Amino acid sequence: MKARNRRWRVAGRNVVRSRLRRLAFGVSAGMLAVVVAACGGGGSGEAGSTLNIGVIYPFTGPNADQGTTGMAGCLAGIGPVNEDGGVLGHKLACKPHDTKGDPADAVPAANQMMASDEPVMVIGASDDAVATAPIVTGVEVPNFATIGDPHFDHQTNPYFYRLTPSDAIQGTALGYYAAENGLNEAASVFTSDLGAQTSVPPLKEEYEKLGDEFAIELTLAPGQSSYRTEVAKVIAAKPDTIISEGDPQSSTTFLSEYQEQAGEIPLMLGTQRIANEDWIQAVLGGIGKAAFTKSIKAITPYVNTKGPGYELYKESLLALGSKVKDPEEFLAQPYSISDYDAVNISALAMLEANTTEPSKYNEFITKVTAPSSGAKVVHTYAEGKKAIEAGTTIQYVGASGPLIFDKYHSAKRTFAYDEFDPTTDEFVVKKLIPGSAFVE
Amino acid sequence: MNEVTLAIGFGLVTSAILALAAVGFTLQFGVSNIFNLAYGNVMTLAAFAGYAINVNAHLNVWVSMLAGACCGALVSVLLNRLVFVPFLRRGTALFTMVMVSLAAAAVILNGIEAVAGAGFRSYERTTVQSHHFLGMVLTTRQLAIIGIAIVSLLALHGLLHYTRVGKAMRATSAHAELARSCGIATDRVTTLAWAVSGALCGTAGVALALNLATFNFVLGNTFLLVIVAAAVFGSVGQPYGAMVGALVIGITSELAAIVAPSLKEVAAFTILVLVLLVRPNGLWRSGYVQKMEVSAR
Repeated sequence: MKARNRRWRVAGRNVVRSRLRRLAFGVSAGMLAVVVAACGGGGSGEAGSTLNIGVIYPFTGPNADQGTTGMAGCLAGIGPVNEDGGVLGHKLACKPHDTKGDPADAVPAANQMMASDEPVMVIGASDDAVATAPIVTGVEVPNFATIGDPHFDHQTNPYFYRLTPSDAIQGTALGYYAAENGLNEAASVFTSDLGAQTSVPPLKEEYEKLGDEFAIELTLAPGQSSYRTEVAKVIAAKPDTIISEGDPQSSTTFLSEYQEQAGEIPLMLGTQRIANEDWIQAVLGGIGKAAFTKSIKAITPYVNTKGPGYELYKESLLALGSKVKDPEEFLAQPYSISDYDAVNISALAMLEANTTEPSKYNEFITKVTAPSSGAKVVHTYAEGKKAIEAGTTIQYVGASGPLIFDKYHSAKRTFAYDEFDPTTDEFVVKKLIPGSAFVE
Repeated sequence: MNEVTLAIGFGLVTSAILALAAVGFTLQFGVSNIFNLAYGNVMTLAAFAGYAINVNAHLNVWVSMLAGACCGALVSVLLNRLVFVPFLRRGTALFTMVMVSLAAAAVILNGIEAVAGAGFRSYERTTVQSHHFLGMVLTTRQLAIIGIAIVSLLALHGLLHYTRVGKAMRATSAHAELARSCGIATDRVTTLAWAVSGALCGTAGVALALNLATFNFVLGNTFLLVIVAAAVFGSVGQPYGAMVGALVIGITSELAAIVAPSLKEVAAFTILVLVLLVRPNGLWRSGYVQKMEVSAR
């Protein structure tokens, strides 16, 4: 997942090393999964027992906000389900597990989660999903991850679901918006970490397809103490806009130095990464609110914050009180909302399958989310439960709108152009990117 | 404008911060034989102390830098007295001391995160004026950082060469037992050296946070590698070598960015390796090897 990725760190600097690590972790994770499977994972629980939902994200370290975001979504999700009597007589509980943002820590964390909690579903991880997903799905437990890595674009694991769009689609959306809005001398400035780089090829392809060429293309090494020479190069190219993704630290240093040298920052179009609280906090402090509001714009996955599904999410989230620190921060957080939906989808799939056994209800996940003629559209667990009990086919359209999984289990989402609201310090949707932008 | 000249100017700012940090780091090794991997985290602590003064007490960034220097000095002295000295007294091996410093680094890092959180902070923003000269463009703040680095390092030079305590530090660094047998209170001298190096460390921490425009709890940790590289380049334990190392690494990395930003560290570390191939103990004549012969105190 791009927006919460924090891929600016060292791990992302070397693609080859990253891939080797992936392979190593994939193999070890798979082997461990077999061991865990032998011990029995994914418990469906005895009658009346509590069913655990594993929430596996970084809860400590620089990416710790991913954990709180995931927990906010999970807790908001189980609230209405438990109030409605739970799933087939079972209450749900969210169990946090800390990957620390490092695959080396993510693997033991995932193993511990599967062994100790026997979850019926797992939410997360983000970038660490490369390491954790084989462990979770290896014991046939549905895993809802928020990873944008295009390597998952054509994955075929039946237990793996991606709630967020591919980074490739993000790149296309950026290129489309820039080209269609007359920004035809853009500078492409991305950090060299894998998370940022995955957007670059589709961005370039789309931008050039629509007849434009970049004024300059620059790949920044993340985490440097200065980008002044790079800034001077970009200024010399006289771009009308900067299309960029980087971690909060690198982006702040780059933009503040741009501001120092050029006097002001041109329009900057960023990915979903920049709508994250840590990015806003860092860059806001570095360049000031006036410059931020004027220059920084984002292209992010669209979340409709007005639908009936969203209203229950909002109500449930705000009712969490002290269980989540500053719950209002997650009101428009697309990943909390997606995780909330994941809980509802799984719960409804269990009802539809009439079992809480993960390996059995898994095939019903796509059935309760897919549109079909005659299907009743439901926005909440309670609505879905009522319809299922009445023998009606349902399509869950939750807080984040329709989550229709394609054959690779990636949820199709549209994108929006967002502007920064200085009164709330959040990005707000201004315009939708038309679906035609993503037609090949 | 010539981009090479511009890059050299920018490199001077980086070098100034790096020199402050690398000289402090190498000074600690010089007097104590400790490869202090907690150094970066002390920089971070100092940056937070400066931030508190700047944002909460609304004092300007230069007062904050002074506060950061004081914080760095205090924490470094405590770190040495309470953590490192007890191990050294037991004759702990050099490698084990590195692990002890690594443990101290982890404790400080996680301690900062536990107290301050993972969020980013910025010093109060002020309008900065750019100055053009010799083909370079530097802001008032950057010039001030360069000036502070020059003054600090000249002061250190004066301390080491023209004061009794400075000479005592050099004697302790060269051969502690011999210095002790000559009547030098090496414990006190070492403590003073840690205070001086800590002050440099703290100053560098605040300067780095200002330069980056934002920082969080990993600030110093991220730059520790480059600091160590500058120190190794100039022979660990040699303050003047560290200054040269900082200058070479700072300017080389900015020049490399003209070709490709991804080459910044590649160029700097390639030069480091090449220098070490020719001069295995670093650029300066005496340093690490001599230090290795000095028994732990």
